[in-house]
Amino acid sequence: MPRALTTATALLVIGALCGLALTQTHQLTRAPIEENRTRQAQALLSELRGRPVPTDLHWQNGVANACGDWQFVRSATMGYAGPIEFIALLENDTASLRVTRHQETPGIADFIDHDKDLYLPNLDTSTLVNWAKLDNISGATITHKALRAMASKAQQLFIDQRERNNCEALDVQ
Amino acid sequence: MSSNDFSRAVIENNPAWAQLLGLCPLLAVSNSVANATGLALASAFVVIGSNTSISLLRRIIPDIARLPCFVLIIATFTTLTVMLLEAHAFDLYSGIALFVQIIVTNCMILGRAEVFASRQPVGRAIMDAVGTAVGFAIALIALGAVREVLGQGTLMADMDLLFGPAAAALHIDLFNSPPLALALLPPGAFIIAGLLFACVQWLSQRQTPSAAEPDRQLTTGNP
Repeated sequence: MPRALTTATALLVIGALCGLALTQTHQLTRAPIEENRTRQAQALLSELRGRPVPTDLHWQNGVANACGDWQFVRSATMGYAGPIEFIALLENDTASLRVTRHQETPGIADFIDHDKDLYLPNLDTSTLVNWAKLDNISGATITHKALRAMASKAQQLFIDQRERNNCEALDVQ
Repeated sequence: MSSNDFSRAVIENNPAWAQLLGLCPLLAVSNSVANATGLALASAFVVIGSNTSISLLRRIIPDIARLPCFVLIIATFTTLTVMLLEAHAFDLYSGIALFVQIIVTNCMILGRAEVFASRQPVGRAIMDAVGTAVGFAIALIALGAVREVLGQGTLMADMDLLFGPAAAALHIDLFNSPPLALALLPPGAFIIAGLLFACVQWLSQRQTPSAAEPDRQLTTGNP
């Protein structure tokens, strides 16, 4: 058998074995992972809202309860080391933010992790104007820029979704 | 022969203090015993699984493409670890997720695959992997314990994230306020790791001067 064919066959066998192991484990762990993620998301939304939120929230383009008195928005902005995923609660002219996933520098950007630092919880229900004026912490300028962008993006996504859902017309009725 | 492989991997060729490999996760995650134990278990699963697989497949792994094959196998075991942790130890996973995912780039594991597992039968490869995992775990947990005591004033806090609610009883409060908060920060990790490794070298040189010499052949060429 030519050497190239032997090499290709060996690579296919190894690739297939790895793929099989991954797909089987995925089948076994999919349900508990989904359950854990849902539980974590639900706990986060309830913490932001300050009371239990419905488990059947209808998300459209990253916005939940677009036509209601309050909205959840989930999206991502670019930070120093990659995308920062977040959930925002918008209520009247105020916003509360929680970062759900990030790759910022450990130690320097720990302040955006609400499990490690009270920086974001202390800013809960700040007005959108105040979010836009957020000060920088030395060494984390880009991360702060991302926080300001999050509030702005959350507001924009919410406005876009209200227009798509024709919420003003619903409010009038 | 296998017990020699084990003890050499744990002490003389310890990945952390003799070869200075895997320092990125070692320094980043060793801020508490719970995190250190979690990463040590994850790394052990990957190094034992990948060493065993590579040794089993060594006759069919093409020499010309051996490094991509090693990386594929190590990446598979790392992904399996991520899925299992996310399914069964979610709170711990949330804290150390980034560093579990970069186990795939840990040169300690690739190094053992290249210099040992790909050239030895399964039994020896497993013993070497277990020794490497134990050596890495000792370094990781020792560093985690010192940093947690100095930086937080506690020992074995949050072990329930790893071993269930019963493990919460292991929590020990040693100081009311942290004696050295710097220990939790990256510079503190470098300083304490350097002092610990120097201590180990000094002790091993005092006991058997010849045994303290790491296997130069095995470390040469590793990043």
